Amino acid sequence: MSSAESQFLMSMKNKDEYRGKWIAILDNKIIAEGKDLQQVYKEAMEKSKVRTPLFKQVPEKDTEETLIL
Amino acid sequence: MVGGSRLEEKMHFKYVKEVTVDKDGNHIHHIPRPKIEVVFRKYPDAKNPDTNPEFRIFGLVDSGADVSYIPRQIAEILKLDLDESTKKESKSASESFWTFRTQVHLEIVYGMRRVPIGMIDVSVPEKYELGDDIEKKVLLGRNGLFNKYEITFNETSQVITMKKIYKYEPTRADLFKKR
Repeated sequence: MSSAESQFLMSMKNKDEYRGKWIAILDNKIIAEGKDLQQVYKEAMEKSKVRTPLFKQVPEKDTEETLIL
Repeated sequence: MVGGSRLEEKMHFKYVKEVTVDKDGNHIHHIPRPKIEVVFRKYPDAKNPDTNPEFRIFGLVDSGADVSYIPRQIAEILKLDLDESTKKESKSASESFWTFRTQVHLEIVYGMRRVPIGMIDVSVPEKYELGDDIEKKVLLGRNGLFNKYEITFNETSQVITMKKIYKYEPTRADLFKKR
């Protein structure tokens, strides 16, 4: 089961305009974006007030990568 | 909404599968990963932007991590206490680095609900993560999560199942039977 925000995120096929940025998603909207997480968080929380948006960092490059942690 | 019903006794999460389209219109299928949506707060109490802010993000369910891991940028937003006396050397697959050890409150987002997990141990690196590597390093390790839920990774169907563990506590009747 996924939230409305994660469904919206998965439906975003083209994220080119957000490459290298953080985005804050609430319902079906991006309510804040930018490279500085602190700034994006502040702006998003001012707009969302009671609810907490989903934060996502969009990678700089759109390439498949393997994670070995 | 905060959970507490039978629904949360066994939860299923599909692996996160991202499909993007590049400039030439080609579809890029990223590797599906066992990530779940979570909310971190410093304390279990209700969020307060000044004293108890919260942060909602995807975390990788990582059975190989002894404890959970939050990049420093996110720990600072959460106003977590990073005490020098808690510093320990930690090791990843490729390097050793210094981390602070602290605690954070964890909730799992399950559809429209939030399932409280409680306070968990967490490591926060001394150094800030660089570039676009911050989000992918939110790790949900074993301590605090895997001892509360039986977690199964089904790589074939690409589903994580989390079944709540109930510790056996004898009732008065059980104790009486033993006499």
